[in-house]
Amino acid sequence: MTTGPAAAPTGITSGADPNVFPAALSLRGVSKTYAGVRALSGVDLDVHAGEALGLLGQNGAGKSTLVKIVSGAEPASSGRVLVSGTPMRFNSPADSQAAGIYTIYQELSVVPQLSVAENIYLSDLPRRRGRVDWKVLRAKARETLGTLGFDIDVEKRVRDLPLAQQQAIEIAKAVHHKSKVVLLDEPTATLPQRDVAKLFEILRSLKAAGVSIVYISHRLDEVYELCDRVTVLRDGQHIATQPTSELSQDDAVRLMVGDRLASGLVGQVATGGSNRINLNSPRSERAPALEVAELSDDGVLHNVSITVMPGEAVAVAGLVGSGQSELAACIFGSRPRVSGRVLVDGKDLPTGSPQAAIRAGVGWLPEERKHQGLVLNMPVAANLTMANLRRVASLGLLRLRAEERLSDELVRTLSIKAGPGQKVGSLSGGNQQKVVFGKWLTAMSTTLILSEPTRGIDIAAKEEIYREVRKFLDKGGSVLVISSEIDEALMCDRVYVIARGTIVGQFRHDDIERDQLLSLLR
Amino acid sequence: MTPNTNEERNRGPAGTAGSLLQPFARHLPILAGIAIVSIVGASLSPFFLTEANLRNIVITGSVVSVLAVGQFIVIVTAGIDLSVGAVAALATVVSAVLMSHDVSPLIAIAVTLAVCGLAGAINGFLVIHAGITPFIATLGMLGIAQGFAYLIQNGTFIVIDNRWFIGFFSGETGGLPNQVIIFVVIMAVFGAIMRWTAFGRQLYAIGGNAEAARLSGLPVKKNVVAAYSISGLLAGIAGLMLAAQLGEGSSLLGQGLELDAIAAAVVGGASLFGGLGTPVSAVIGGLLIGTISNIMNLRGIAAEPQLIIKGALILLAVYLTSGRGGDVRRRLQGLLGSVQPGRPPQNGSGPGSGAPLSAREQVATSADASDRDDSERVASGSEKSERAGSPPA
Repeated sequence: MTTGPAAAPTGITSGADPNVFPAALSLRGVSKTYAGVRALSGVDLDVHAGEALGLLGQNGAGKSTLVKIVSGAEPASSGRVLVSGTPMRFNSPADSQAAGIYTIYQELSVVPQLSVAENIYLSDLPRRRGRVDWKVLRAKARETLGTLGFDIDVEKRVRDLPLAQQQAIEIAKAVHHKSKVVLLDEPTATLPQRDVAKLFEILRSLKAAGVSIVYISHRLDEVYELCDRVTVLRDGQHIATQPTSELSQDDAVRLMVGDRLASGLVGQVATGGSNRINLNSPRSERAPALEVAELSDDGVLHNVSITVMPGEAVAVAGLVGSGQSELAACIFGSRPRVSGRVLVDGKDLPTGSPQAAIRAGVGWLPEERKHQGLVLNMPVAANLTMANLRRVASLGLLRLRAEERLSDELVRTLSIKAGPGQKVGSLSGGNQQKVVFGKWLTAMSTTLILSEPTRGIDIAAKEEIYREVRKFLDKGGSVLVISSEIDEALMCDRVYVIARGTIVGQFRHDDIERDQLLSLLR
Repeated sequence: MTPNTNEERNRGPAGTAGSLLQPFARHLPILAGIAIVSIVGASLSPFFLTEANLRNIVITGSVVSVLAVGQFIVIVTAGIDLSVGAVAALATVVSAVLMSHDVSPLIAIAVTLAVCGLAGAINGFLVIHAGITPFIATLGMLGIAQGFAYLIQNGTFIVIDNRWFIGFFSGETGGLPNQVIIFVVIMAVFGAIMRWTAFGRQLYAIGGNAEAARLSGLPVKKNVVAAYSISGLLAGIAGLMLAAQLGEGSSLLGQGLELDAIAAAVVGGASLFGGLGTPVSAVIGGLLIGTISNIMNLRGIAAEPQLIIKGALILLAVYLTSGRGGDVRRRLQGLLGSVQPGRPPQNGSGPGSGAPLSAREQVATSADASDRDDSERVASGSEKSERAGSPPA
């Protein structure tokens, strides 16, 4: 399974013969230890010229550690990194770039205040008599972007561009640096669907030009669409490297998860079986748990109406940019609405007050956990009790013992893999999401708005989150899932489809036409 | 593979509160700093360790200590209060004017504190409701408070001759200077507030991530206004102490004290990005700076070079506590870790008993000792038990 150069040629599309030419990038026995914990142990890897290699693994499998080492952000504890057969020693990202490796992170490294042209040539602006030669700069930038098939005004400031174009600028930087290997870490996590196709087009043309691509994504479909081979990492170890034509997606998932076979909801989704998240029937005799009536905001949402009955799981499915994230913010009161009403258990909520929403029993798991959901430098316990300190305080005085007991219990029931005293910032995405979930359990919310609840979370943790949602529903809670993952939306009792800020369709779980739903999304 | 090891578990409960008051290890740089400074001081001047001199250090440091507590409360919300020196000056003038018109000192104190609290509340209002960055809002208040102080005093300074007032803020009680009692009480009260009240916890959360705090339903606006009000109020108390010490009210007093208070908080490990540190460490930070000044005074160093040395030492201290000096800090902590096993027997059987301590080990052990003093002074049984429960390094 492990790739030596001899084992690899099957998946290679370019004409390069790996037996003659060394791989563009090779790792030999690379290990990394953080404070005694092995994040990566003895990984061997080869990426050949003109090849796209997908890197698969759950959170904590070692993918990001591997990226950090190859991109020069952190040194390996042991092992070697070879570029075109030459052992390298990277002391900084600049070293890695100089060696022909370019890394594009989910958080782009563009300078928003500068123009497109300046961004692409930031490290070596063309000069004439000591001054920047703007003419040459603009022409060069236009040319580089042109070869990538992009027509962007190079004098525009980067911050005024849509995300997809900002990403194109990153790739243009890689091209300008004549990079031999381009690493992409979750490049499509925040990208609208139509831009993904465009991105892939560019990546394919890079491949054709002999550039190697290392592609990291939680989205298996994408990895399989783009990559010639996939490498599966698990618990810091290299598990397998195989051509995508020989390893089915199901098998890849099995390798990622290991002995803990894919089961439960995700497995059911994958096998197309029954996949209802709510095992109870909603109660219709009472007022709706949550009612949104003809809600409009400043420009994005138009007359959105949604009802969630008590004990019901309802989804709003919409692609990124369709207004789904604004809708969640408007309902919770974090974003002001211009017209329309939001009612919780039949009572009106004022606009722009998360406090009122929380008091009415609404909790929100926001899309941006780290920025909106958690205080990263506070311990798990303090985050768990944050939204309802009254539960562990009397007369404004904290009862630290009670807090300890409460958080111990939540850590156990939510199986958060951390101590209550550990800082939340050091937890994995899945565990962080569980802490946000626990926060609303502490706040005794009866209705939860879940925005992209499993984004950036590995498969096992995903299932655990679904299990918690199920438990919450079992206890009589109501749930509004707002997601761009269609399979996630399909698990709910009812699905609204949102596009361009308007509800364009509504389905009951039993008569969902998947194709019809997908066609509505556009 | 999971981080859920036994060690993490054990550390858990301690961390619940401990990482808010921050476990002992995080105080290490500053405690080590005090130890080093004390050793240097003792070796440079035989007078340094005398009771009179140590008394002098804490008395001199008392005004800045009170300001540092207030400054910390604002800094922990990721704000800053540049107006405290000017507000303190305003306090000296307001109280002096009132008492010169035969107003009873108690009423003078109450009015003064109300005025200063209001100045702080206006700061908070400007920051949270008017959306002016803390630096500019409080810079404006600095000018306004100073101007009012000047107008109210209407001429040169005003003499304060009320005996009770002077006695209350700068006399002695049971052999202890009142200024010291005042700042220790304030430090303890706000140390307790930050650790054991919902309000304190919310301030940490707001400073750590204001958006997450708001979306968790915390009363962010109210709390931030309260934080600036507290800073104004404590600046008022500091002003009263200053007025009593000098027996006068003047708009010229207190200039530059805001920078001393900020330096104290930051040397004590507070982050200007908010969410970190404690009031106690802010006071310790201020005393460290005061001790350094004292040593330089004892050596007869002139004021100008003193400024340079002080500035450089503050940079070094912050580099070690909250800057990129993490490696040096860890090495220091590692050193302590190797000494710790020899710690439980109190009778000083250090590591490798019989062998002379190296200078570095001496630093580490005395840092250890000063921590013990510190925790006994301010902390409760629960902190001690949490330290006792911490895993041996």
